[in-house]
Amino acid sequence: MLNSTQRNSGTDTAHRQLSSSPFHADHSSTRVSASRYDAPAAESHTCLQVSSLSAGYGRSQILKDVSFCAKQGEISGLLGPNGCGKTTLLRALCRQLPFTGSCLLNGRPLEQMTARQLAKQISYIPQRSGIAISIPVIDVVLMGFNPVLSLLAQPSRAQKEKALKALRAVGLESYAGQDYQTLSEGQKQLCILARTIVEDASLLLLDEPESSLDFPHRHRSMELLTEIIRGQDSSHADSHTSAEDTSNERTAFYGKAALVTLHDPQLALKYCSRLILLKNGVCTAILQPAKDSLPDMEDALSEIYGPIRLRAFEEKGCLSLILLPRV
Amino acid sequence: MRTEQKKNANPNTHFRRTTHHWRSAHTETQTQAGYLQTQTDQLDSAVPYSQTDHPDSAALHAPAANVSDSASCESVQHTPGHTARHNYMQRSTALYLSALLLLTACVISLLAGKYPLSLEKILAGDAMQLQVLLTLRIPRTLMAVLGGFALGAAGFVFQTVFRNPLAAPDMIGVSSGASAGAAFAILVLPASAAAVTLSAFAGGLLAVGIALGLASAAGGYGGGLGLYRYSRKTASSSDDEMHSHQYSDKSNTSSHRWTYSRRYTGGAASAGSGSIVLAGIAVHSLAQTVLMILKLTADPERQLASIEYWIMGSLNAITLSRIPFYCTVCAAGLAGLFLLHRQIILLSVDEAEARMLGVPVGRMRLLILLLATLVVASVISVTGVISFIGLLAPHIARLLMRDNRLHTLTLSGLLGGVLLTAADILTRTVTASELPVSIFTSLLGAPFLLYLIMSGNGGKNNAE
Repeated sequence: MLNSTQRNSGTDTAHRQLSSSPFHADHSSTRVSASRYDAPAAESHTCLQVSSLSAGYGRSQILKDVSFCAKQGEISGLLGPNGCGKTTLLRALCRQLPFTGSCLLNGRPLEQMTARQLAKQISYIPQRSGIAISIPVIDVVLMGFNPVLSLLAQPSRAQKEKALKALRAVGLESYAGQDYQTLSEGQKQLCILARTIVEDASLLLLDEPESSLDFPHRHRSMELLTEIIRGQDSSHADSHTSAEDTSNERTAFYGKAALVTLHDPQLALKYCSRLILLKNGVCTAILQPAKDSLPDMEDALSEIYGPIRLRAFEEKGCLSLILLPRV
Repeated sequence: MRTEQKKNANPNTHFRRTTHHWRSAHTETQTQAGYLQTQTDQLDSAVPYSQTDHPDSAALHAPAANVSDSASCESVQHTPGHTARHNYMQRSTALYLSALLLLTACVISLLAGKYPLSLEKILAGDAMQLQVLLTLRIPRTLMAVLGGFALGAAGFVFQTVFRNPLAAPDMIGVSSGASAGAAFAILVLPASAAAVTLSAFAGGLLAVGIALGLASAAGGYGGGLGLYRYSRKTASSSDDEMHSHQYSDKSNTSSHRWTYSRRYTGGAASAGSGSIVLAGIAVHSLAQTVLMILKLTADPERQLASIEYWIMGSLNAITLSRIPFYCTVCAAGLAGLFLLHRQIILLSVDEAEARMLGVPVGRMRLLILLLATLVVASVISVTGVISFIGLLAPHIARLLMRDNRLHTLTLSGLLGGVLLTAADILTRTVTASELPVSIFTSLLGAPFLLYLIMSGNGGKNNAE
């Protein structure tokens, strides 16, 4: 067992070690570079540090003593079978559920932030977006500007253009004027992703953003997500110079991190720098696909998904991981 | 169907786009660039790109011109842009048409009635005609227009905030409270129209105040889970105290425990829409009971009749002296609602999602409901209960607009104004004696709503 693969340790000290260690080790031949997207810098700051978090609904405790960290510039994947507490974890981080333990967002305890600060720093996408009325797609995207707009202000022209740009990024620009309710579920998810782009928050919490998407769009949206958290999207390049949303609380200082629950482990292995495996509300392991060895990951994934095989597949010098049921 | 064609025509371009790097989207095809421009034009303010701000604006404009040149090209006819522009035209037409209708209704309302006025005589300076116009017709028309507008707009707000197509001001008890208040004044207070109005206003506000207060006390639970979570909350209320205690003790350490703190549960800060509806129903039935008791004790000859007549609603007794206060309150409330229209739409989003979009859900919902209540109470305390406008006008507006935006709110108001003014004209022209206005609001509105539904003129079901 490699030391970066933690077995349900849940201790603070171990995680501090993790966060201070440089993310990317050298590529030796035995290690699998699962992600095409290598971390941009050797040192990336911890965006979210969760220590011994427990949460639940009412008296029933769903999450027990979960600890992990999410670093900026990385996608952290939450994997686990249905009902293991993935959504509960995200909802606790949004302060929608009572929790115990500590959560530090960019060094500040979550519970000390005001609701508005939280909204500026965290962008949350629920499994199904709760937009129940007919409104144009572009208006849905423009909702993303609400945390930076004052109460009575209207989105500016620059913000409308940014919203159109975000729609173009997800491939929905021809639907901008169309009713959101007439979109397919997958298109709705892409539209909400566009809203996340304009929100420009430092922590992205996504609850199964890929569940309704077809194969190409799954990969496209994960690539987009990677671009968003790496700050490669040009739509924000001008946002800090424009007068209406200069806000020093935002991502000017911090990069972005994403915490994503996924049902597709293949997708997770390909795009996530860090995998947090949950089973029955307990964190069983934290994997780093770029660092950990194949057998270790296979063991860890088998623990939550039952017997599986993990194989590496090379094409044009690029290694991919393939997950198969054990025969 | 147009929408269907568009969906079929699209996947090709859609897929090709997704293979691009998303920053390199300047390589627009002509139709798409043209569409993009249509869209930007369509955005509320309809501001064109400014050349200086955007280097690619030239590239966007040039192909747009080509699109209009090559209108014969088949693909252009089915682009979403074409549909969008068509819809846009349709929407502004609906808006202008209803404004024109309202204006026409106003003029007729000023002139028609038991004592018909004519423009020539007024211009000639007939003292009697001027007297009637100033003291009776202008206040009455003003109240009809403003009242109808207010009821329509408030109906839109209630339906949006509660995400319920049947939501109406009655739902949180404003009209039953006002009725009870009016009955109380008719029975107890010295007989004067002003006292009845004031008492009705107070009754409406009191009922809503009690409903919202109860909802806040029940705690911050929203949506369909209201009842379910409510039971949990009461079960753990002892824990609640304990934990909030812990919270204050250790608030300066980073690893403190905080459970059930006020930030996301109790208090007026976040009364959920589910509990507001429940509390509203409770208060509504309580007010009905009070009204029934008052009716039982009323003198059947005079008092009971005037209570019943008040409840049926009429713009008959409106005079210049009675309305300035209520009109001011109503206009102020409406102004507030229009200023907050973006928040109203955001409140229709799932509560958790809205909160993460930076909406202080509980407080904002309270504020908007109070404004809408103020608007409704100020109208019905003068006119008596007017049914259906708050329900019909927003639905007609949505069927015409097919979306929920500022212009839908405006159209709801305009249509409400048209409905009430037209109904009021009918009440004083159809028969020799005045009829209750509610008869005509539903007689006019309901068939039109049915026509819109039947003809498939709107509604997303037909668009699919």
